[in-house]
Amino acid sequence: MSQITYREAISTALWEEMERDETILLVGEDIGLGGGAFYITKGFQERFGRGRVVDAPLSEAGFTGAAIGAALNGMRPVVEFQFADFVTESYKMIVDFAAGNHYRQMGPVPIVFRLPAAALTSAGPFHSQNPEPWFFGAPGLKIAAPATAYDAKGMMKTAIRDNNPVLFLEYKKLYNYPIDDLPEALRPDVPERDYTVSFGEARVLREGSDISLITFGTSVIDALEAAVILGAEGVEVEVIDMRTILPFDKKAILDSVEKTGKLLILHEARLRGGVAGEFASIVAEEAFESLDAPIRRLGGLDTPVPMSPPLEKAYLPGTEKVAAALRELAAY
Amino acid sequence: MHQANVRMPQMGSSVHESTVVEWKKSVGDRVQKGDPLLSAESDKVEFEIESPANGVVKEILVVPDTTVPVGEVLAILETEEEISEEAQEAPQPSGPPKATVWVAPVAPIRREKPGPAATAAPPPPSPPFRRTVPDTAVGSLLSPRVQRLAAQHGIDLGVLSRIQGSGAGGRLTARDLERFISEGVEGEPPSVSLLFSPITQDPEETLESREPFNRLRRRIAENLTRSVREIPQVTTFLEIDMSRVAAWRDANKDEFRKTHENTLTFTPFFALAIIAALRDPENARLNGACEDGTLIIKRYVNLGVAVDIPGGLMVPVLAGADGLGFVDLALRLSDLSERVRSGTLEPDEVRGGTITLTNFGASGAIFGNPIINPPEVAIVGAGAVAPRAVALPGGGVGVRPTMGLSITFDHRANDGMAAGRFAASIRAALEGMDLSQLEY
Repeated sequence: MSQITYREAISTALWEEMERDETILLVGEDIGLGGGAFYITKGFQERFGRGRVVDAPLSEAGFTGAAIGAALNGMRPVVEFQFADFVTESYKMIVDFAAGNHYRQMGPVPIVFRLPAAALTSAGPFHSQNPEPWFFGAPGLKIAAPATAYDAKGMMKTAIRDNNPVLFLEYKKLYNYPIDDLPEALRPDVPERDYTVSFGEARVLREGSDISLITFGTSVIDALEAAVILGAEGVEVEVIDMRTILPFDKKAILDSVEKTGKLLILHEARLRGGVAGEFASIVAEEAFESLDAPIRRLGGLDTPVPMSPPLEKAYLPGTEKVAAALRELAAY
Repeated sequence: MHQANVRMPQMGSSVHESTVVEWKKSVGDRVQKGDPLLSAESDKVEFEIESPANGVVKEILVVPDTTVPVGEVLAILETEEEISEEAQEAPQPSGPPKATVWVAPVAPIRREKPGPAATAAPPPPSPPFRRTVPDTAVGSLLSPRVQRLAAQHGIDLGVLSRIQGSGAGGRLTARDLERFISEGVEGEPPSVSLLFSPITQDPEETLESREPFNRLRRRIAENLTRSVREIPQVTTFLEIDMSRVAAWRDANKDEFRKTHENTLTFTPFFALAIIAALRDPENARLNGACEDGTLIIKRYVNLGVAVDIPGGLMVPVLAGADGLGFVDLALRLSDLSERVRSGTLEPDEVRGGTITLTNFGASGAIFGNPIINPPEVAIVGAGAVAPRAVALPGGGVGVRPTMGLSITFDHRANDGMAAGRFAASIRAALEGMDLSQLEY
C-alpha cells in the first residue's frame, strides 16, 4: 500500500500491463524519448523498445487509424493524445471505425485512447476542454473518467483488458496534485498488487441525506469542498463520483435521489449538450415521484475556455458556485 | 376595403356576459388572423380573443374593465377580404382548453405598467431557478415526493395544508412531512415564544401596508357582500355521531386507494347524506334558489363544494350529484377539487349549484357559520370529525368520533323548523347510512 500521484498511478498501470501482455503497444507523439507531454511514459521506450513504444507523426487521424488497424489484427494499442482537445482530428476514426466495428464486422477492437482533459490553469481554448459530450452519443464506446490515483490505476488496467474501444479521460489538474492537499476521500491507498476497477460503478465519496451531488472528473474536488461548507451550515450533501461516464451507473443516481429528493449534477464540461442533461432526463423520467425540488445542473459556461486566469475562473463551476447552487436547493 | 366586427364570444353555455380586461392591439395596428387582440374574462375564466382576419384595427369600442353581453361588438377591423357575418359573430377564443380558471395568485396574467422611459440596460442574467410564480405560490406547491409520501400514509390535502412548511415561501418539504409523520400529533406542541416588544422595530419597515384585492378576491367580496346584504340568513347547529361512517372509512380506505388511486375522505359521505335528506319532499325547500320574491324548488341536486385555493376560495359544482353512485361521487368530487387547484376547470363547472357543502372541518374548526352562495337558499357546513366525549344513550360517557353540522338557510324562504328538519335528516342519514350499499 502506498500513496502515489494520479500520474504515477497511470504510469504504473501501463508499465505493469506491458510487462504482463506483450501484445500491448503505445502510440503517440513524443512518447518515446520525450516520455509524452506529461511524462507518463518516461523510460518506457528504453524498457520495451521502439516497436512497442511508437513515436507517431503529427497526424492524429493517421496514427489513430493505424492503431485501430493494429487492434483489428490482434494487438492491444494504447493511443496517447497530447491533449484531449486534439481528439477531434480523429473523431471519425474513433466513432465509425473503432466504436462502430463490432456492429459492422463482429470483431473486437481492444484499444484505449488516453485523453489528458479539462482545465489546468490558463491553457486556453485548445488545451482545456472536456471531450465526453462529443462522444456520449456514439454506440460502442466506453468512457472512463477516474478522479483518484486508485481508480486511475485500476481503471487503466480494466480499459486495456476490455475488448472494446475505451476513451480514458485523464485529468491534467490531478496528475501532479499534491497528495496532502487532496480531500481525504480522494486519496485512498493504492495497492502495489494487480487489481482492476469495474466500469459502470459509481462511488459514494461522502454520504448525505439532504441533497445528491452527482459529478465526476476534477469537479469532485469542488463538490467535496462545497459539501464540507454546506455541512457546516447543517445541510448534508451526498457526493457521488460516477467514475465511468459510459456505461454509467444509473442505479447509483436513482438510489441517491430516492434517498434525498434533491439533485445537483455537476461537471466541468459546458452545460449545453453535457452529460448532465442525460442524467437529469433519466431522473425526471424514472424518479419523478422522488423529487422534492427541481433538478439543478452546473457546468462550464457556454463559451470557449478562456486563457485569462480570472475569466477562466469565471468559466469554471468552482466551489463557490457549487455551494451557492446547493444552498438554493436546500432552501427550496 | 371591407369591415369586420370583433364580438364578445360565448364562453360556456351559461355565460351571458364577459369583461374586457386588456387590449393587446391599438387603433391603426396591423393584425394577422389569429393574433391575440384582447384578453377578457367571464365569471372566473380569463381568455384571449383572436383577430378573425388579416387587416388593420380601425376602431376599439369597449374600454378595459367594462362588462358587455355576449355578441357585443368590441372592435372594428378593416380587412382586405370580405368576412362573413357568421365568422364575425363567432370569433373563437384561442382554443377551448386554453381557458384558464382564475386561481390567483398562482397564474396571474402579467400586466406590466409602462414605467418611466428607461435607458436600454442589458437584461439581467437569468436566475438559476426560473420561477414562473412568486414565492407565495411556490409555497403552496406540493412536490411529487411530498404527494407520494402523503398518498403512502393516507394524509389528505386538508391535513397537509395545516403543516407548517420550511421551504421557499413556506413550501411543505418532504422533510417537513417526514417529521410530521414520525412525530405526528403525539409530538410536543411547538413552543411559542413571547417577545414583549413591538412586532416591527425596523425603521425601514412600514407599519401598515395595503393589499388591493385581486380579481379573485373581488369576486369573493362581491358575492358574499351581496349574500349578506340581500339574504336574512340564520344558522342552525347540531352534533352527529360519526362512529359507523368513520369505522367503515377506516376499514376500506386502503383498499379504496388501491382500487381507485384516490384518497377516501369524508366528503362523499356528507354528499350522500345531503342527497338522501333531499329525497324527502319536505326537505326539498332547502334545495333551489330564491329570486324576485319566488322560491324555486329544485328536484335535482347540483352540489357546490367549497374548495380552498391559494389566495381564495372557489365553489365548483358537481351537476347531477343525486344520480351518481358512491364511487362516481367520490372520484368526481376529488377530481373537481384537483382541477380547481390546477386551474383546469371548465367555465360551466362553477355555475348552476342548487345547494353548497363547505367542509371547514378540514381546517380543524368544530363549528362554522357559513354564508349562503346566492341565489341558493341553503349551505351545509361540516366540522372536524374527531373523537369526543359523548353521553351514551344508556347513561354514562363514552368517546366517539363526532362532528358539528351547520346549516345556514335563507329565512325569507324557510323557517327554523324546516332547516332543523333538514339537519336532522342529514344526521339520520350519516348515523344510519346503509353501508352495505357502498360498493367500490
